[in-house]
Amino acid sequence: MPPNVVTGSLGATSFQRKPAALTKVDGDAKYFRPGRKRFVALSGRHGCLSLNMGLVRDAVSIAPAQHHLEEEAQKDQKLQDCVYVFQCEMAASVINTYSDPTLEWMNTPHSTGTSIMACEFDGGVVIGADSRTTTGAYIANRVTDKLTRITDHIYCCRSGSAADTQAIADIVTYHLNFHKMELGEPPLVQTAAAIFRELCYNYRDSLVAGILVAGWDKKKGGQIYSVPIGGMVQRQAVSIGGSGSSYVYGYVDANFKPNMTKDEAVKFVTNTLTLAMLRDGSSGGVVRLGVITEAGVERSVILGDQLPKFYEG
Amino acid sequence: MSSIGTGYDLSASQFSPDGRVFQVEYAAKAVENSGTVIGLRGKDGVVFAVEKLVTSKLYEPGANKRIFHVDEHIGMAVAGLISDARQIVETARSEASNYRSQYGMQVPLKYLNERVSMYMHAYTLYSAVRPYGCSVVMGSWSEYDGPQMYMLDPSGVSFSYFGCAVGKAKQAAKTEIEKLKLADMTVKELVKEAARIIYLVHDELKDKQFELELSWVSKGTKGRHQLVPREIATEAENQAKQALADIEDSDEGEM
Repeated sequence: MPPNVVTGSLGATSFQRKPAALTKVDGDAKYFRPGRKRFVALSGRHGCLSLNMGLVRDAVSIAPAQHHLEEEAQKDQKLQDCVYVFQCEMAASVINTYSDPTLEWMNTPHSTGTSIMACEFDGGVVIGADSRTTTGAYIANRVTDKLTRITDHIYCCRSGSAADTQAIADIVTYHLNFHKMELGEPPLVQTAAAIFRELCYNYRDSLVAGILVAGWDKKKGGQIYSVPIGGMVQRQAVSIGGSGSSYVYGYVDANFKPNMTKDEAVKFVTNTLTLAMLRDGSSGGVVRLGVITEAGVERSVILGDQLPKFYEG
Repeated sequence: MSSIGTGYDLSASQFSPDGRVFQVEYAAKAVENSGTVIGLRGKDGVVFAVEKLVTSKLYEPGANKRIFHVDEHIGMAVAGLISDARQIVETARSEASNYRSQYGMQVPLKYLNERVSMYMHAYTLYSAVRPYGCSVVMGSWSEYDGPQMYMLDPSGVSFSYFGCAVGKAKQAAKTEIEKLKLADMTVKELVKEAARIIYLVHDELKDKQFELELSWVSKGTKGRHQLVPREIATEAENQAKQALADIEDSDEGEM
């Protein structure tokens, strides 16, 4: 049987679970005290295995070259009931990078695991977002501004890959600026959404971007267009997005009313985003808001201690 | 009014000593020799009427139309060299299609007008090509912008008009158009006026046969450009013929 990976709780999780159990380091192999049913062992460069106690013998047979470790374990009583890890040749260098705990944060995609929202009211739209950007488990930016200006009256809420959405927003801004000059009048929200769609659809295989385009124009007033991953466009009166949105669909469905006043809409968006941030690990920080009307946009921030209070047990 | 270029008129890339580009002016002459086209912009829409000269009785009636559709909501009536005009229509259609596919909505007439003007103008810059020998009139109606009409000439210049005329009898037609209060008239009234004017300015002696083409785009057609329905067109034509006969009768009376 060629040496190969058994099963995995790869890298970080397992490593985090039992850092204190590291008893001995021997070259590339590390010994861990077994847990209840299984433990995880970590090898410096060559990947990791998750073994049951019962599979130790199989593990030994997989990499007979590690016999010397076995001998050492026999000498040391304490180590006898440890299961030790063997270096296994892993198929892909992917495993190397992802399992190496020191490099994990460098290799996780920089994403805006997010909660974003947009809501129409009588006279315009309210947009809102959380402020957390993560690389894996590390919060790279806890005060991110995910509400990006396209024109004075059109904004977009970004979720998905931070890099992708920033690049797309820049391109759309450029296009729309040019279009505005050609047209001789302020561009329509529908046009902005169409340009977003062109990019998100035609490059769908390379992008991870979920965007809410929201704004005000003279023709149709306040509008929200949702452009999720894949690149469809859908006009909606209220729209939520990002990883945190899954937790608040019920709240939104139960509490949205058409033709709200501006204050009602702001309250509604704040509440929804707060609830999402409380439940989603990838969302948090402050709530950033924008109110877009004929007069332009009013930006505001609701800091952590000013967020509405909900039952937290 | 016509002057000979003598040496400075061989290509569009040459100026004459008095600052004229003769090729472009000659292109305009080509337009002046074609059948008259008039466009009328009223309160709720735009009407086109074209005097389509028929040189042979053997032609199928309705062949070689001079009014075209560009997308659903824009109409284009052409004067001048018909094959040049067809190229312009194709270009306009292509622009409208690209706009629709990129921006998800129908092209605004103002934008299309600029694109087509720039295109026609491009052909006045180089010696390798000649300018387009046609003038086009474009019209549209939308809920948001209301009725709009633009006329483009071979130099690539375009203006927005309430009423315009190009072709053989443009002077006479313009005189008639100026008598109308266009801003207050609906398309139903304008169709009758347009037909009447065409019949009035048509020169019976020089050009025997002609077909009248009528089209409109208005609130009533929900912004779709279409040829005027047969009943309305026939009625307008009959009224026009009647008006013409009345004038002839009255002339004879005075004599």
